[in-house]
Amino acid sequence: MVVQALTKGNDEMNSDELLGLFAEALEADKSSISTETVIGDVPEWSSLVWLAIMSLLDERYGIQLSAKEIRSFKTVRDVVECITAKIEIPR
Amino acid sequence: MGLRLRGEAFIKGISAYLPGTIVTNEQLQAENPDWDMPKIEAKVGIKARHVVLPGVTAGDLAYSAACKLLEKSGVDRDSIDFLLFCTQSPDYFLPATACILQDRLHLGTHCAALDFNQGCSGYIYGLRLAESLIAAGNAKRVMLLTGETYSKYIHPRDRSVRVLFGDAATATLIDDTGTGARILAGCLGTDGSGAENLIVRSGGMRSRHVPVEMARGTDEQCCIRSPESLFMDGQELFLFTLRRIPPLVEATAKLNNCTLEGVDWFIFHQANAFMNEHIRTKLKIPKEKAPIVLEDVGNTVSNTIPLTIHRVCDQFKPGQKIMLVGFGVGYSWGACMLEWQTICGA
Repeated sequence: MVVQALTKGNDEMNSDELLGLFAEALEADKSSISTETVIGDVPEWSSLVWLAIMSLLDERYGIQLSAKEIRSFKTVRDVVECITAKIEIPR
Repeated sequence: MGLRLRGEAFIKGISAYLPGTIVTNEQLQAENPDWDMPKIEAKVGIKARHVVLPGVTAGDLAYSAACKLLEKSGVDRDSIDFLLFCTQSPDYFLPATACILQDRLHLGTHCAALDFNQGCSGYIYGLRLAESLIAAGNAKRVMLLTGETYSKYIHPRDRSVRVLFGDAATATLIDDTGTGARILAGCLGTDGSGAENLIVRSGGMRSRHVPVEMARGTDEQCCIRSPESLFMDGQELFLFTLRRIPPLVEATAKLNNCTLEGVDWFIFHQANAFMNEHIRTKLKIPKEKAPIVLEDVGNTVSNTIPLTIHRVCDQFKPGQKIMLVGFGVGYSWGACMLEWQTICGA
């Protein structure tokens, strides 16, 4: 499979791309979330949304999140940081 | 574990049996106003599931499936020399439900009978066991039964599993007569480190009785269940599938000297539409080659693969290559290839 790379060296770009991905999974407008969003404050952010995020991350970047990681996330920033680290550290 | 081609065993016929009670999404919505059923249905692709009434067991369902197959195939009951029953909801702790089924089905007393405990990989295990018994000369005709009543393990308020699982049974005849679908090479595998992610914690000897105060609880994902009920960590199961299944499919094709493009049909365990679609897309398998049969039955565990074959096999053509892929609880997985020839469906 072809794995896209996130634009490296530009955190803003990374966040923006990932916010778009989360919004797609949430079926919501990208402007409705930011890195400061507290996940627990978004009632629509259900376990099904996490499955959609896992699917999109696997499809687009070939990276995976574990349930343990998902449970540890408080804010959208936590998710972005975790994903960015996975992309930047070659596995 | 990669298993080499022997090709001496053939699927002669498959039948399926579904219990009569149907639970629709509308009923679940009425019972649980807080569940977003339209959204769930859109993701998992399930509209209804069949469930047993209290007092009806997996053994009863398997008995009905076996009777249908015996009638349709017309095989002599005395010619069956091995009965395999795959279930995770047996009628009793002991004896083996297969022993009870030997008697109820009037099979000969020379017939060996064995239960084995596997879930979503169970049908592949059953085919491999049957094929190995036949290839080794230890059996001539095997009846492989799958029967599951997960509904008995499911807490009615646990959304994460109630929407997914349904009850069912199937029966398959495998023999050495050279007619029917030839069982080719395949792989089996296990990763028990995932055992905790799909489990019924209480009832067995590790934790036989549930303390009364624990009999009802709400977990951190706000799902209501007790230690006696089925627990599933859907995210971990999805992660397992993402990591294990694409390599399994590729290895099975390779073992059969075949490319993925050379496989005519893929019959995946029917976990849920979302997961199956993701795997199919990831492997670049065309939609029409990987049928999804879930809408009216849900995830029926070890029954999904034979049930799907039973429903779509009139589209298979003689000589076509069909890959069967099972994966889930354990974690346990397995895949194998069939070379299709017409079988008896009931």
